[in-house]
Amino acid sequence: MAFATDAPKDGFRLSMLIYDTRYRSYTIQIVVLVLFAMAVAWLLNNTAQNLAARGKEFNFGFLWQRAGYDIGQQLIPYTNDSTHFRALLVGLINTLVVAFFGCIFATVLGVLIGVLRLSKNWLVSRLMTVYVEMFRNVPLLLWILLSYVILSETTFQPRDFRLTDEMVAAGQAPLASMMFFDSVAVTNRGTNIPSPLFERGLGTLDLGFISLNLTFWAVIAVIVGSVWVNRRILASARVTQEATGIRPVTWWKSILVLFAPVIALLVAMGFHLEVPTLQGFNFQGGILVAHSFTAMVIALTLYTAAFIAEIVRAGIQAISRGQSEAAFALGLRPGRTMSLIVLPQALRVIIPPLISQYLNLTKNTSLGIAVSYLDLRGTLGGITLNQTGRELECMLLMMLIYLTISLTISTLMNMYNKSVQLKAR
Amino acid sequence: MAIEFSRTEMLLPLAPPLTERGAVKWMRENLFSSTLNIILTVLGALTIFWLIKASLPWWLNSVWNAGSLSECRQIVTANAGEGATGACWAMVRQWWGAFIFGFYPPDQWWRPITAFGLLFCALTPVLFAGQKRRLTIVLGCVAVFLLVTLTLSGAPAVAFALAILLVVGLLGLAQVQPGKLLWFTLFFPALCFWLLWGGSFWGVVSFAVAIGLAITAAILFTRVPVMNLGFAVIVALGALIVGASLVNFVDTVSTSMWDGLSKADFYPGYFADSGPLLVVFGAIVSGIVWLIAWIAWALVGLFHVIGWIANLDLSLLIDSAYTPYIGVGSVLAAVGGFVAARNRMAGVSIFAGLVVAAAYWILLHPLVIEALSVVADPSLPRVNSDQFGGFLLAIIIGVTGITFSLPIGILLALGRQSDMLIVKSLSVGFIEFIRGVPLITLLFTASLLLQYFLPPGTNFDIILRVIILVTFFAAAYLAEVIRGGLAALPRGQYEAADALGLDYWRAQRLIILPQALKISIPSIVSTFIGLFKDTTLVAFVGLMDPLKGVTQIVRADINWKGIYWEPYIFVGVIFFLICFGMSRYSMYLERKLKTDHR
Repeated sequence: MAFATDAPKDGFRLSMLIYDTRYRSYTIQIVVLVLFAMAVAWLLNNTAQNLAARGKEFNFGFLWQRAGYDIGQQLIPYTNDSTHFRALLVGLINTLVVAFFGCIFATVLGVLIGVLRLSKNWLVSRLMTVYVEMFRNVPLLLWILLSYVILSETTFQPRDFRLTDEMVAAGQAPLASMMFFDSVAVTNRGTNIPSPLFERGLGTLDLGFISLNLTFWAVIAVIVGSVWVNRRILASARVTQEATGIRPVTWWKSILVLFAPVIALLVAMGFHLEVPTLQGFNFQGGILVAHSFTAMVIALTLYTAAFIAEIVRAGIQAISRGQSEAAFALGLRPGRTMSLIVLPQALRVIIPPLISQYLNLTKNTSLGIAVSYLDLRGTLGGITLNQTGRELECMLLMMLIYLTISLTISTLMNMYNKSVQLKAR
Repeated sequence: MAIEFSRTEMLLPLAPPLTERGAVKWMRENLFSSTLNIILTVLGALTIFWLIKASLPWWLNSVWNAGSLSECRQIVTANAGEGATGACWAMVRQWWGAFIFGFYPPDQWWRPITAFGLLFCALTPVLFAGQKRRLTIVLGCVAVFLLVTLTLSGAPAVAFALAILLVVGLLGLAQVQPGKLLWFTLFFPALCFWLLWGGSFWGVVSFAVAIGLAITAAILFTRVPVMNLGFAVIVALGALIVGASLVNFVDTVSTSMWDGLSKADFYPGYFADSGPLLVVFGAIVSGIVWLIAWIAWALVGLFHVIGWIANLDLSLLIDSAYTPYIGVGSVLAAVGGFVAARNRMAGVSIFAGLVVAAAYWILLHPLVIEALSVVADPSLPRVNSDQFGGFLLAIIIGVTGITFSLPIGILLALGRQSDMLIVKSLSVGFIEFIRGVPLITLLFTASLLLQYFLPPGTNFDIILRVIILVTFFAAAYLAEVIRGGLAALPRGQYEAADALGLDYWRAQRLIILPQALKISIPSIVSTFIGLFKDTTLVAFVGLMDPLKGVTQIVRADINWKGIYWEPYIFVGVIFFLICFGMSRYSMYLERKLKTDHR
């Protein structure tokens, strides 16, 4: 005997498409789909007509033509004879490099400021509040422009670094001097930093369309290997500790494993730093870092750090006081309470908004156009677009690339987020 | 008997030791409680000292009267000695007009000023709903602000009369019926548009009439049973127009799409010369295009068939070539009228109101304007969009973007939370696309690509285009924020709404959204702040924002070449005040709406 009766089985009437909630959603969805299809068709139709009217075609062939313009900062070989596609790659790498440095510095600074803002020290917490409010409430563009202008208009010319014989005789010092033991010179043309050189480098491996710098990859491989061995050492120490209750001394092994191989490799390859020196009217040797890059990194760091600081503060405050009180009751010191009890839990709250800050930072690198930093927006969406007149292709490709970067970053960070997330029952 | 000593009165409590009271105690606790704290305090004090030492002379030696930067420097040297630094605010004195108004004609400055003052009159009824005291305070402040600024800008007497009349009227209304002030908010966009861009005042009047008609119609049709018949007629008429134009539109588009496709415009091989990677991309794009074209084509066929079946010969009304569409339109109209007459649904009555307003706007508006212009012609000189600039531009884009992004964001968030697969995936696609690309690329879309996406020959104002794209951008971010609020609501709230038998929109409007929006206020406001800061990016599409546009002009001026701190500080401080004010308001709102005791 059935207690619940089924819904009465009426025949289907047309009006049920509107009145019956079971069917209404289908009606709405079909209407929406039709409207959407029509809107897309309309846009495509307009585009086709407009392209035809302008005598243009939708074609990515221009990417393989000669670019014909120079890019100041290039991390892969590029000349003005290279293709537009190559310029796109150079721009993309420039975008990623700024985003990479910006993310790292902003995280370090942001965490520091966020923690200090919660400090019991009245003066320091007020100072940090002022910092956060100041940077959060003023457009990023202002910080970019200001840092660029300060770097390029208040620094000295290379010739001001010169120490002439007359000056020595008169006991004068030059107007400007280099920093960090005469290794870094900030001039109005850029920042000269030392470059790493190898006397016996491993050369490059040409793979046709890209060439691998073997020296660089060898160093990376050794570092990764060392880290892996170190983790094995720590793991075996933990096993011993679990079994016997006594943790073997590992610190000297770790130091040896982490540093000895890299140093040995560097010495073997004849590693040395080439320090920029003043020759003639300019600095020679070393690497010239353009002010546009420095200004972008500084501004993005300072601006995003303010947001990250707020995220960190909110994350720490979200952990109930009982947790740190329990830690104190167990006799943990404040530093260890923070690192062992509070931060691991706060991380779960912090990471999701942190991801979106990283994404924002990456997208904000497109403001490099304000200081003529040739990132993706400057090469593909700037000079290439203007030279070839292919707005549609350039813009679509650029959006696609940015979209890919964003989705990749958010996927990676979400995977990381999943791994630290509380394992719920 | 031994004398026992015992006290008969209490000892007065001793004063706490010097280190445990007053300022000393506070400093011990807050500045010098541990070694680390002492180090931090010293570092902090050093930072402050260094900042003051570096910048105080610069502020103190400020120069307010000079014609050029070199003159400024001479004055500073003369006053404070060789090597002294000093701010040169004389630049701001000379250029403040451009920072605020761009190239807006100076004799017309009273117009943006009035619009700005009235903006607050329009905002307060929303921000401080029904609070008579606050409304009065704000309106009073606006009156004083307008009096002062209009006098300073040398406004004509008409401007004074207009502004004072309006503000005093609103003040009076605020005393009697503060709730009714919302009507002014509704009317404000038209007034503001007229003030800023100029043109005939009758446009504003006519707009007000249209709004009034729409609302009256909607209210009448929902409340007065007698109107059932008229209601059905109106909805049927509207449905007829919409249906006919839809079908016509599909037909045109898909026919030319078909022509285009048959010429193999989007053939995958087309991309073959673009290299192997792009062939894949091209194939995907072409595939999507083909699919959509086929759907559109099939739809047209369907509509043709329906039109043929339901062919009601109305060729007297419209060209006979459109007969099938009239047929479809009639079917739609009949359904619409039927539904309307039976149910008097709220959505349909809004639709009816819109139809009435649209009918008025298309048919009567030109006639009304013409007739009124014969009587008198109170018009303002036109100002072109490229003359707008500075904070005027930032505020126009910011305020419009904020106003329109909130409703769109709510709809997108609801769409993303919806059970309907298609609606959900469209919302997700839109949100993720917009959030995945930088705003700058969207602005370039506004300036470069919109001319491709719109029908040939369409060209509308660049400020409007930018506003649309900025609105979409903010709406996508708002949608995510609001989705967070929706997700944070306990499931019980949704179930309770269902249990009460509320339909979807009632449940959202009465139960879900008020709570979800309240939770997400801080994030909504920070999105708004972000939007306002992002208005500076319009500089990259050739508009004159205060930061890059105007400052660049100032710094290119031969007199002020090499000045950098002063313009950036000036602009930065104004931005800071506005954004900081918004975040403070959000805190006020949070406190005001706090109903729980967590």
